[in-house]
Amino acid sequence: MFITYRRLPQYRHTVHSVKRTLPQDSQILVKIGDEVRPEKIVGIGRKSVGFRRVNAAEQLGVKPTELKEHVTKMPGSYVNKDDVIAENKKVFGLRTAKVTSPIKGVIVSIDEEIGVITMNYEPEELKIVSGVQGTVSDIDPSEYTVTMKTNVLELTGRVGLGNRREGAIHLVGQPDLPISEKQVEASWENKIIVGGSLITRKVLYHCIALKVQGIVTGGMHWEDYAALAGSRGKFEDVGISIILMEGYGNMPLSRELFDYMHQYEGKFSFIEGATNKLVVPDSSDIPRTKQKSDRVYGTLEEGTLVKLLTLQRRGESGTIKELHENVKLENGITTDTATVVAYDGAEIEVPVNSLEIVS
Amino acid sequence: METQTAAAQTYIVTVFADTVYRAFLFITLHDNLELVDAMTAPGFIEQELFTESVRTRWYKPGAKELTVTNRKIFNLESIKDVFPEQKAIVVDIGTKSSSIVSYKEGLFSIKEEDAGIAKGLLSVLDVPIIRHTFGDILPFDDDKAAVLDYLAEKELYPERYPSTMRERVIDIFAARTLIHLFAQKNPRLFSITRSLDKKLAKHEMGTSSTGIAILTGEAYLDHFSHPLKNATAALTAFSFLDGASLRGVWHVYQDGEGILSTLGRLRKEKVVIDSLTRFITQLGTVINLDHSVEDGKELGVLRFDLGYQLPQEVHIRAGDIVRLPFNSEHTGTVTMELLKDVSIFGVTDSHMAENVEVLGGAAGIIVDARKRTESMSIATQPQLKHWLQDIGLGDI
Repeated sequence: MFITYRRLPQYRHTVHSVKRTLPQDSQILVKIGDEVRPEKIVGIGRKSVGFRRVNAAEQLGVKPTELKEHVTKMPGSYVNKDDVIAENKKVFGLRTAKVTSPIKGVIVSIDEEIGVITMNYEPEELKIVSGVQGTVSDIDPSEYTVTMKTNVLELTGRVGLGNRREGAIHLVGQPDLPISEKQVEASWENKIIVGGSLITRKVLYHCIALKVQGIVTGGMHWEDYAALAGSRGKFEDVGISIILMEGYGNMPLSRELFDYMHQYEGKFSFIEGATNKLVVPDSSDIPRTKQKSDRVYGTLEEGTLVKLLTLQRRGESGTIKELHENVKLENGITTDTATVVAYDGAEIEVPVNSLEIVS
Repeated sequence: METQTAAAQTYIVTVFADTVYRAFLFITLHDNLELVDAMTAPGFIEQELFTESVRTRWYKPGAKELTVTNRKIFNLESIKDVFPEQKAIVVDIGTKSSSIVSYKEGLFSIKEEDAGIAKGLLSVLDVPIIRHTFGDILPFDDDKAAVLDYLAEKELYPERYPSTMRERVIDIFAARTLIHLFAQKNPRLFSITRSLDKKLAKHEMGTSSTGIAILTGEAYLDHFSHPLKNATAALTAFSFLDGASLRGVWHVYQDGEGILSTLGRLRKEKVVIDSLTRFITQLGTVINLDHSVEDGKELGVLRFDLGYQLPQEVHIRAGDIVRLPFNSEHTGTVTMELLKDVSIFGVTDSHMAENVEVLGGAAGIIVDARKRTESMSIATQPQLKHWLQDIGLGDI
């Protein structure tokens, strides 16, 4: 029996729990058991979008320790843009130096050590939509989370990187050609791009600048991947999430997968680089499976379609022509081997462990 | 009075390593241990499946079934009685983890690294270092990105075997990098003496101190005699001497079958193992000269007495790595006439006049005459290319 790696299915239709996290103090608008559609607003909250600091002591010409005597608005006060927040009367009260607020927001602190007033921008209202069609299965009011069970299509790649992000799926190019810089266009903004055999760091940076949310492609050179991953590995986030379906290098995306994904063009989806998964909410009638295939090996036979894992022809596919037991390779290793007919007709003898069954 | 007929005892020893399972069938008769057969399977199948196929093939009533799940413990068991007087180390470079076991005068030390030639190799080094190590120092002019992709992919397919000599060389160079990491973290493990200072080492080393090193693990698999055996043996020895920045004189062995830990397991069962070298390959001797002489200048003469009518004289130049292809039948001594500032770990030729025992082997006798600083760096690409050319792997 000739045993080697067997590729696990790259996609499956299953049921997922999708958790939506709302800002602190949000109002939750659904209850457990509610049926929701993707556009349903599950909660409304407010989210601060940043802060500004003003060196008020310097502007007033007073010592930082004296600033509190001159402020006109205390921490917690709402202020409009150009409202006076501190003043200093000079020359017997005839001239007044003033500090005005540069933003509409809330004063959060007055630092007497450095003489700085810090203000938060007025929080913006945020409406959180369900994003999926399903049923609300859990609500955690203390954590402000709403969880929904939904039918999904789940893609699992070999390597990934980055946080959880969301966006509409957009298929690009060909599965066996690298994604080029010329292909990248403004319409990719906020999308999750699927396609190509390779993405380089240069193209990726272009995508980040365009606010592309995620890339699902065949491969990426290890050097590029490692430079992005840094010390946190796949949990590092560079502003985009990546899934490499095949691994490192220029590796064609499966044609079958690429063709299958066309029906999901434009669909809202979630990408999670750290777990190598793309999750696409899917309301179709396709039967769902909960079972995960974890058997990573299979039996080779003549005619089996395989992917080569050798240095010279890495990622290429071929068909098994013959199998041989206990062959002594010129490099000093005795092992079972297979004669593989590559796509260009070349016959190559490789150890069976250097093959992956793809069908 | 009844006469007792010694019965043969059968042992089946199974080794469950992280990416490969092996089983060995041994028979002992009158304290003679013989290896009868061996089996191997990739580590991704279920252990029970492998055990079952081993039993189906070999088991007979009375056979003792033993397992090894922790190679380093039994690697230590293998060497501690065989080389009690000498500094002996086992360098086990696996696919997902590696270990160094050292034993000398009743003291042992075990160090592990959660990295092997597949898993963790690239992640333990940052990108600039790995570029240097595999890009600039690998002895090929290949597309560097492709080689790094191939290496990184080994983490996804750790059971993958090298299919060509070039892939094999990459594995051995990966092992060299791991040994280099070990040596940087634990320089004492690779020192024959307790002191790392060559002035102090001189007094400790004496005239006949040699180290014993056994290289094992998936990085060093080599199952049989083949036309390039001597070349791969030389490369294996080189990965050790270069990675570890060795000092002193070392006798080096290769466990290409992955059998060493099973012999340690059998020793636990009180099985007599008269000689490890029956089961492992003698690679030869590595002699490392200490000096700071400029490259190209002659350092002196080494005279090997290996049983020929006349001693074999070798003139050594600074910067060279010289390999003398004496096979394992050649055993003898070496005497030296070296420049004043040239030593073997602090010991000069006058002290070394008689008793430095040297062994030939599959790699031969290797003299490393590269300039040595306190932290010696590993070989550069031109040196490696030259070395590969020398051992007949220049065209792979």
